[in-house]
Amino acid sequence: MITRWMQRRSAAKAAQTSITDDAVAGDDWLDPAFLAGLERFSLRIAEAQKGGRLADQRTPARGQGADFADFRSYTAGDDLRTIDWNLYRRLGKLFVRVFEERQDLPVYLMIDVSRSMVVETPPRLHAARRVALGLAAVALRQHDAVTLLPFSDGVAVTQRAVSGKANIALVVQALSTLRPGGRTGLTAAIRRLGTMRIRRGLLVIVSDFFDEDGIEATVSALRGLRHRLLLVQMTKAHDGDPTLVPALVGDVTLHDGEVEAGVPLTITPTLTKSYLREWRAFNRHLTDFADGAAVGLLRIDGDGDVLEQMTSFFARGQLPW
Amino acid sequence: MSFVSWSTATVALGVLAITAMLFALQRLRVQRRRLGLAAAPLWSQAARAAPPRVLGGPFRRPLSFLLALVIALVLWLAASRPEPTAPPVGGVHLFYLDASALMTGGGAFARARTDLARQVAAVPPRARRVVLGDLSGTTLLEAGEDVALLPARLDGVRPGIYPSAFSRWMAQRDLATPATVHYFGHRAVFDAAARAHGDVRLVPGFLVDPVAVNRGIVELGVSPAASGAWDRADVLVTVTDSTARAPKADDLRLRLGDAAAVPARVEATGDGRFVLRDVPATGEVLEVALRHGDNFTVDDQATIRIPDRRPVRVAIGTGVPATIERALRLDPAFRIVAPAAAQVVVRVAGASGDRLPSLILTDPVAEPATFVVTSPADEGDVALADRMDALGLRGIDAAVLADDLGRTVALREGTPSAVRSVHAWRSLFDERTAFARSPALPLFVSQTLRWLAVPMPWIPYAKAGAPIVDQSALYGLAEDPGLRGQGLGDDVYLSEAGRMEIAGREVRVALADRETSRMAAARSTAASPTRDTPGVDLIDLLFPGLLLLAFALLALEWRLFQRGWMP
Repeated sequence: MITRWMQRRSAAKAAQTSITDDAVAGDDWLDPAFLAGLERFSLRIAEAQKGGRLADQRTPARGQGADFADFRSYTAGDDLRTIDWNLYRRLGKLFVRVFEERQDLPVYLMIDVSRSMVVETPPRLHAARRVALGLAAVALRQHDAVTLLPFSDGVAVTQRAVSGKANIALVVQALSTLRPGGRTGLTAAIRRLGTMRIRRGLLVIVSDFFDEDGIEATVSALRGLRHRLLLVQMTKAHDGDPTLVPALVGDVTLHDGEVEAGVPLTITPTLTKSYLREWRAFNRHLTDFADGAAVGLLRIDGDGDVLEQMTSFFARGQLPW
Repeated sequence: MSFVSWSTATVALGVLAITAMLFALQRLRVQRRRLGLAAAPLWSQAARAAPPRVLGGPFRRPLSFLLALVIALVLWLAASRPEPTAPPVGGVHLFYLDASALMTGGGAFARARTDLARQVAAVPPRARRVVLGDLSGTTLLEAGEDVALLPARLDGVRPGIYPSAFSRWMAQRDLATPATVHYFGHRAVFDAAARAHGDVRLVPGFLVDPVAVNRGIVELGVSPAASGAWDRADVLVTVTDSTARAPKADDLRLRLGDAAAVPARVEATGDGRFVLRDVPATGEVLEVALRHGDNFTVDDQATIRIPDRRPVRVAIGTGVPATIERALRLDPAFRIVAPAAAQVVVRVAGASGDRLPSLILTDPVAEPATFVVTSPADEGDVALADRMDALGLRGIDAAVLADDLGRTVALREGTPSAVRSVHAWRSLFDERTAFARSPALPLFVSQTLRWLAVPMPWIPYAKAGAPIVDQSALYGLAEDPGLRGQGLGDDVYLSEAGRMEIAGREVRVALADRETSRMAAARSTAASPTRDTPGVDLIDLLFPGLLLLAFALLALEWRLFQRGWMP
């Protein structure tokens, strides 16, 4: 009897592993039409931190560029081509034109690869990867530096900063090799990122945000970051309407793939109502934070068309920077 | 190991049933579906925020509550085993297990016991009562008591050697309550009771058949020897034979004490009666047995203790008047011996001999009372009139004696002491007194010394199921204080044949019951009686009915739960 029980347990584990592998390997996610659909969008922030390479993002740096910024008195060694001769004619003094120097924007893509992202069918990770690819494509096209930072229990750098749209292949390869595993350690990952000496830029977090520390702790950690933020919340329709899951009745053990034992529950209308309250409060936390801290918040339904949802987001001009 | 309530097979079946039920319940246990949801932490949080069991809040699902309440109340009622207070329909069933001598042979009692337990179980508890047929009619199972108690109570029950008390019990039972009496015992007893109590519904539970032939001792008694020999006794033995064959003296085997006894003469007086003449009255046990036994053995032998009539050994001290010694020498019931071998002493006051019961002659100047009687405290209070009888003072003419002595004659109780003693004025026994010349003197001396010697009581017979008889007074002996104390104003009842000890005295009890010996081999004249199967009252189905209802409701609840109609 014990042998049979162990055999059944091994089979269950094997089944769980195969689901995870399918979640990564079975996705035909690289679609040229998807990338083409995003070509008309751009990621701009009001003012990137200076110190980067010349690119398209506005910075406080003054130097080469096409956008006039100011005049200053001529000093020896200035480029004679920048002298404003009209002013000299009117004022009799030499002034040179100063231009705004555009540099690249560091874009950090944090992708949640914890097991909760692959526990459902289809996995949320599929859509998350497409979102990350789309945003990376937009950033690369505008010569920004894209860094991939997948996280679960910890945070890792799988793709160091690349720029230029020719490097999209590198990003695709990096995204393809993501392996789900571990628990959602979003809060810890954010804190870890905050301690890293990296250039201030745009931090994109693609996650379900179901962190074991709670959404309050996650938001609190986010407040401590110096980066511009774009939160991409990976959702499912049944998150807000549990009746869409037929099996979610009676006695069930819910698991998010991260806690072995799961949560034994008897689904009752009262419990469902209570869950919906929790779900609304969860979303309200994120929304309030996004509204109050000029943070972009993109909610992606993992079962829906990612391109359509991203297009809609960009078209509405919901980026607050 | 043994089980009090059920047999081993029943317990084993119960184990199997419980195992099967638990297995089924294990199979029916809630099997939770495992469901993967990324939002599981939120569900967990919701469950913590909304605990499933709270006392407060509005009362929900009254119908579910009602169903659960009905189930609980039905179980509660079933557990309380409701019974009506009115007498059961058809009267009570009285089960009588005869444990008399008639049930002693061949494992009959064990079979009766088994049948009794089985038949009692078939009768509703409130309508039955089980009585053990011993001499006191002990109740084995009261009405309403669980039948599971019966086997344990029957375990220590054995038949005793005493006559059947069934007929007496039938006469004494509560006649106002209609009853069916189930008798477990001997067929002859049943037939006799059926004839005597025709108005009672009497049904046989288990009947032992009589033996083919029975010969038994039905009377055994002892009396003083008709020959006049003081230290001899005559013994009456009566033998019956179911075959009407006249018993002979040779059929008897006699033992007195440890040795075979050969009486001086055995007289057959007819009708199976034999008188053994001049058996030595030495206080030993006489065993009378039939040389040829039969299948009913308990009446084939009987014992009786012959009273001790050997002469009382008396020591006479110095200064004792010759009138006393002369009276003692003339009485064969006394033998004058040296003080070391004496049982009682006659002495003047102040002489040695305090440790033995004594007749003490006192100085009238020192002792105002003529007679002072002293006895141990444990002998209790005895009326002075009884004392006078015991001491032979009744024959004294007190007026003549007072004139003769010139003083008032008086009798008083002395302070209790370790041994008996009687004080009497020495002057009473002077040759010149009227008392010394009267027949009252030897009577007083003889009775007083016998009382002082505490003789064995004269018990003419000791029969099981009958009170003990003390004829000491009839034969000039004082009543035994031990026997009198045991009686507490009532008779001392002899419960069973064999050896008994009453107030420190060993008594040999014989069955010696003519009716028992007759019934042991009595031919049945009545038609074979039919057994009675008690009916089941509707009220007795209430308990199983309630249990069934509870199980049905539980099944309904389970079904509703399975279909999701009940939370």
